[in-house]
Amino acid sequence: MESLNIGIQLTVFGMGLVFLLLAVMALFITLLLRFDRTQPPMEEPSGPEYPAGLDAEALSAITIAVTMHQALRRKEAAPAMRRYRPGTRPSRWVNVGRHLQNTSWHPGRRVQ
Amino acid sequence: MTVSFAQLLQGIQNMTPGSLLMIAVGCLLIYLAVVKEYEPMLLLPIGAGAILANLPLSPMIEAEGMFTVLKKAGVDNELFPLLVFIGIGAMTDFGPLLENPRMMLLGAAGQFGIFGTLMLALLLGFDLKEAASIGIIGAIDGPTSIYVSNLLAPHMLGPIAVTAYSYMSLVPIIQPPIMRALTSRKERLIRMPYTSRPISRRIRIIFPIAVFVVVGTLVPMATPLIGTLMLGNLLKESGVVERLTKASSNEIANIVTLFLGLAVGSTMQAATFLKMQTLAILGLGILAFGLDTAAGLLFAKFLNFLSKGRFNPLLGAAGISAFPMAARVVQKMGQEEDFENFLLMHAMGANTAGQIASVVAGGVLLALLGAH
Repeated sequence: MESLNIGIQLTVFGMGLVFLLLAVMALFITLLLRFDRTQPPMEEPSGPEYPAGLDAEALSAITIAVTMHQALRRKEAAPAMRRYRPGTRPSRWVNVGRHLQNTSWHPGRRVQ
Repeated sequence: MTVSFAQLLQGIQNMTPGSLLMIAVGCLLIYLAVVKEYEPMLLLPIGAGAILANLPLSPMIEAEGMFTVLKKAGVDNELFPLLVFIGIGAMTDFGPLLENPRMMLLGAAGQFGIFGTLMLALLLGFDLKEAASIGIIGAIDGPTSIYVSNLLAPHMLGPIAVTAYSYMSLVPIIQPPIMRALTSRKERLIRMPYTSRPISRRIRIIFPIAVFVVVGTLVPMATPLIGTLMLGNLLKESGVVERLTKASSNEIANIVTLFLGLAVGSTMQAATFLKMQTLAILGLGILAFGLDTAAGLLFAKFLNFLSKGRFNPLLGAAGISAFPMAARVVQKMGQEEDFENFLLMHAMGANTAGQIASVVAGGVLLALLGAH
């Protein structure tokens, strides 16, 4: 019974002290935040990073050239530029057929 | 010089059933570390240390043996746990706690397991210092458990360290049933909006200094624990000592963890470990974890009542030191009920509060028991 009394006393004092200390710290942080008016500096958006040996002009020329080349390749429907694996999408003929099925010849019934 | 055959068989002749059993325990710890990945950083060296220390006539535990040297150098004088704390501080971001300082109180509630277990251990017949050492398992913090138990009851260091680390990895298994039992579905569904609040560098630097000044002044016994934890955090937040921060959180922490694990493992010798009290420590340890969780949940329910139903009681379970496991468990439990409920940042705040609170509670316990 005596040991239980000691245990209860330790628990009351111990938990009380832990709560008190942490409450003091919470209060302290709250006050600190209230008085700290300085906001952390906003990060400025960083400019583009150019690879070594290239300036902005050279980089834009390369970008335009690559874009044009990609457009040309796409136009030629080169297999390397296909977006989907062959066979996973309906062919153009099938697409045209479906379109015709869904489109009425009658101008009044055309789905816009 | 004559060499007898018996000399070559000295090892086999000195093998005892106790040391065989301890080797099996060491193998079990290695199994848990390797296969189950339960705190492998600590359990693997502890397991290896236990095996090496229990091999017959092991020179490693002789007066000048490696384990004895390690124990004297870093465990007996508390150096290793404190160095680990610098690393923990350097790895911890107290930002979520600074954004919401009220979470400190959840950390305080989550320490009830320490004192509840202390009472139970007293009832089971342990003396006061032993009971306090067992209770500190409820801090759910390995270095704190080692630090406090080594000061109060060094003969129980092995079982206490093993229990603390083994159960720490079981937090995701131990907590959820208690969380389900103590909260209703309606409570678990409570959403708490989170808005990120920018914390200035100045506050982040003042915080660790303020914590060790306040806690160190009010509870001097807590100074080594809280001082080293906050020193690590100060290194990190100052932003000017990147090399020291990296060294603290990587090289120093890793080396010290290995040495600490081996030294603790070497204390697990058959004569001191194979006792009924080890089983009692294992039982009381799991109870300490449960009590921590339950007390945190009940306190969070009280906060929910005060806030008129706007505080999710699940957060109470995160007020322990097992970081970030407890916060993750809370987030998972919240999402099981409502997939769009994001409690993680609140839980992280409570979890970091639990880290500070466990250290404070360890210091308070030492102060109350007048340990030196």
